[in-house]
Amino acid sequence: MTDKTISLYWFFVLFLIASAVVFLVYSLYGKPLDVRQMECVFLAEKVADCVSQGGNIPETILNKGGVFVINSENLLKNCYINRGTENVYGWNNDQLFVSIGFSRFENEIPILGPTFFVGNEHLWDKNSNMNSIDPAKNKNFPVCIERKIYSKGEDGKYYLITISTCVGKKEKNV
Amino acid sequence: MNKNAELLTENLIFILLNLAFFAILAVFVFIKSDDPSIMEEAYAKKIALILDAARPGMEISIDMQKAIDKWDKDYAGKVVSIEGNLVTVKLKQKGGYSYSFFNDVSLNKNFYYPASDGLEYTFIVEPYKKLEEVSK
Repeated sequence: MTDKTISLYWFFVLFLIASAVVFLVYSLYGKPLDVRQMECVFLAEKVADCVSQGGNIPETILNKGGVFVINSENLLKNCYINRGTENVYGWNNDQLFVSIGFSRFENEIPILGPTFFVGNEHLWDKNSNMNSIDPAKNKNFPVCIERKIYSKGEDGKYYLITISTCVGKKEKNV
Repeated sequence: MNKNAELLTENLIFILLNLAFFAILAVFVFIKSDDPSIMEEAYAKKIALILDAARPGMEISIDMQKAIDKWDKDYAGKVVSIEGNLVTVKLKQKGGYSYSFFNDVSLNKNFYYPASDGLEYTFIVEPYKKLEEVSK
């Protein structure tokens, strides 16, 4: 092997090293931090704290007569949630979705009750079964989670509460 | 030029080119990792997430050491500003990153950098006033 061949080979190796470093740097610093999963969990926890306190549904949600005080209009206000977002990328305060479903237990059988939701319902697409999608592999989808909790209402009945939350904000996280 | 001198020159050029290559690579990595905009984004999102998880009555202190290290001293404005439910972290004049938080909390406006080390950002999450006032 001549010196010239070695030199060419050496510069090819250098080129490979440079490409690898540039690729790694851009993959590390070039993409925004994706915090949607954590944001989604915090949102679900906040809603859970709102609808169930110490295992009981507060009267601001369900009164003693078994009538729901909460509805889709006052859900955000009652749970101290602000769905406002920064005014960029054409976002129109539509990057969050919250849904709360109640099922009442009668003789240990859950009876489907009302579901209240607020926000951009397109973020939550039941048909695509968002919960089965690994957010690490499908970053272009909104991140959604579902939580189920059991609580006792002021009417003395037990309820299964299904909380679903979604966060869009794709442009700032992917 | 005799053959030894020629060989020395070739080797010298080869070594210098290699050194230049690695120097450029190191400068590129340094510039990218030292970019304040990365820090602005990280801190804006970190503060927004802390506020999302915050509960009324909490006093929260955030270590801002890494951000202050990258702070452009020519920029005299606020490093962290919270307007409504939007956190903005700005470390240089032509920069800044904003991120929204959903937790509808009021913050004590007296956030400050403690004089002892000058590196912390502190704020107090106030009780939920709006509904309390409504219920009264």
